[in-house]
Amino acid sequence: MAHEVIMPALGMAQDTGKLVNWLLSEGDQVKTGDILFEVETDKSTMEVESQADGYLHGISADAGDDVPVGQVIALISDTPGTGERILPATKEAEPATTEPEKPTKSPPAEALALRSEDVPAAPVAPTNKILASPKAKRLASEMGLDLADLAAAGHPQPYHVADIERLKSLQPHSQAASCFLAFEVDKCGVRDFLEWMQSQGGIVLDLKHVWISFATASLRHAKGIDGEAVITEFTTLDGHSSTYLNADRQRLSSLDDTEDAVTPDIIVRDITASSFTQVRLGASKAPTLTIAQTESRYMLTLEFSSQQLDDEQAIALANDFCARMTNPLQHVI
Amino acid sequence: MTRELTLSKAVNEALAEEMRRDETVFIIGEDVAEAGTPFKILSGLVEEFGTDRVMDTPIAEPGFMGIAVGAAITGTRPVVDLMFGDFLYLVMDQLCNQAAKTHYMSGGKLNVPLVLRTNLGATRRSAAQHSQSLHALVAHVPGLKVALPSSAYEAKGLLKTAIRDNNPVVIFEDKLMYQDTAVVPEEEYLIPFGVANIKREGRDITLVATSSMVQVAEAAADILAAEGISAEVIDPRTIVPLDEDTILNSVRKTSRAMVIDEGHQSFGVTGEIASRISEKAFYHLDAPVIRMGAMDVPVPFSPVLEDITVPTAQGVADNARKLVRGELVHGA
Repeated sequence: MAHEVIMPALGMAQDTGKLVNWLLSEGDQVKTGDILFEVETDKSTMEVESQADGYLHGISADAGDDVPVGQVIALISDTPGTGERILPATKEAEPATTEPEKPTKSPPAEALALRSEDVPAAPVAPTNKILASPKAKRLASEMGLDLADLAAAGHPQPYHVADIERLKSLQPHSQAASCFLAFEVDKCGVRDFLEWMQSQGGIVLDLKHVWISFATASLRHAKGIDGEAVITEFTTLDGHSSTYLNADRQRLSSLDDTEDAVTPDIIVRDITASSFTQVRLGASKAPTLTIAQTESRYMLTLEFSSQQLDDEQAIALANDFCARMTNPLQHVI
Repeated sequence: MTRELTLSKAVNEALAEEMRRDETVFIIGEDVAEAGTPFKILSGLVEEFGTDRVMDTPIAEPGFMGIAVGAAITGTRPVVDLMFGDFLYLVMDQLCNQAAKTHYMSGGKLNVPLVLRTNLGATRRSAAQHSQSLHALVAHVPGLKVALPSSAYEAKGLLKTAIRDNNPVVIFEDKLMYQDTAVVPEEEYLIPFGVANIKREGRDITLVATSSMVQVAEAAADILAAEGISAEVIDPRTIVPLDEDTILNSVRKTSRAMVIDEGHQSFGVTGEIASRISEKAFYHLDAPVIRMGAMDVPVPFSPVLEDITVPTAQGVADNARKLVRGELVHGA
């Protein structure tokens, strides 16, 4: 069994020791009490004696190296020629728990513990565990927030209630104000248009395709994004939804939905099957145009967050949609 | 008409009033009659009530404590004067094995309406055997009530309640506060046990402090207030029974707590109150509960050394500031 040679702790506040030079070489025979190497601390240079008989092997620190206290820097084996090189930092023992090399008195473990308690540790967490106060954890949980987002954003742990505000600001949707516009339009414009298409061209149009197409065009108009792709999601009360790419650029008679699940730019929600005339569910992942109806009118609500649309864009979108619904033919042409 | 009394005079007045009210109340202890105790607390009582009711004893604490327990069981209300709290070690059997357990072991047939008046507190240069704060020792024993007055007003109201209690009560006065004054009403009042006193309302941190540490906590609150930190100071008044509700409600409000007491920090009053907070208000805590007690060393005779063994206002403020700012006191 080889005996470990360790960089000793020679002072209270010593983290490393500078190896001045080895007095013996790899493979040399050693007796207990022989001087192995010299160490320089901030106060003095000291000689370190061997604590075992044998052969010196596996020297892993060279003259001039700063070696962490407690690190194994060589082995003393019973037989010559059995030494293996020791990788640095394979063993970083506590100075107070393992020190076969102890040429001077080092402070007892209790004294070290008391001292370290007075010095606040750097606020870091070396593991995956999130360090946070009980109250911060509870509040985050109640708000549906994940403290790991703070860690991912690089904020130092542990977290307190004050950090919850910072965590909230990392959540874009929850921070944005939710706004809505309510408006209505007469049904006869679209009804007349559908009847005209059928009687003149024999084309049967799906009413929902008209809405989807017009909403897409209105968003494009309001945001001034003529050349970009616009994704429109259509949802109904029964939870069914479908997604359309550039619905306003397709033929109304053959509007195709896309297979891809992508984040929509605008949502058209059809609740005409219900007796609701207005909804206010709060901003969603995209501006949401909800279509309800009375006997003679469509009741419309546009809900959006301040990050999705500014007020002018929202008003422009609503006005444009109303104009298309009032006089569809003009807009189709 | 408000008037101010010293703590010493407030205790004297409480004893005199209760002895006039109830002739079974008597005082027993060393140097209590002609000498009026080394702190001159009892001056004048022997002149009014005579040596039958203000009884000087030999220097034999176990003896007079035993006499008092027997007298209490047989129909009187002794107020035992134990010259220094440090001498509690001498009366442990009489107090903890006899007085504390008699009511329970007699199936409720016997009562021990006894008051043990003694003191605590360091920084009087009285060395290790006359400077201890040993209230945690007796608070640990079921059957004993423990009161810790923090001012002359508290001392009078709590002592009168203690004398009227049908069970043994140990009341600790801080020996450095005997000359401190406070407003003490002329008219009679009692302070009930188990009702904490919110000395100062605050928002950011709760400082639970006992006896003279209430002054320390209030001074710390002043330091913190100048920095914009609002500290709430709570004086439990009695640690047995302990008014948990007031403490826990405060911590639920402030989310942070420190407990300051002059007993040794390890295994003491600070640890007990801190762990109750941690157990019962855990999900309201935004910082670890910090204990500040006396250092775990015999109280040094050297004034320089003695002064650093007890909590100070600056030390309390320093820790409180860290907790409020989310800085670490003991590492993460």
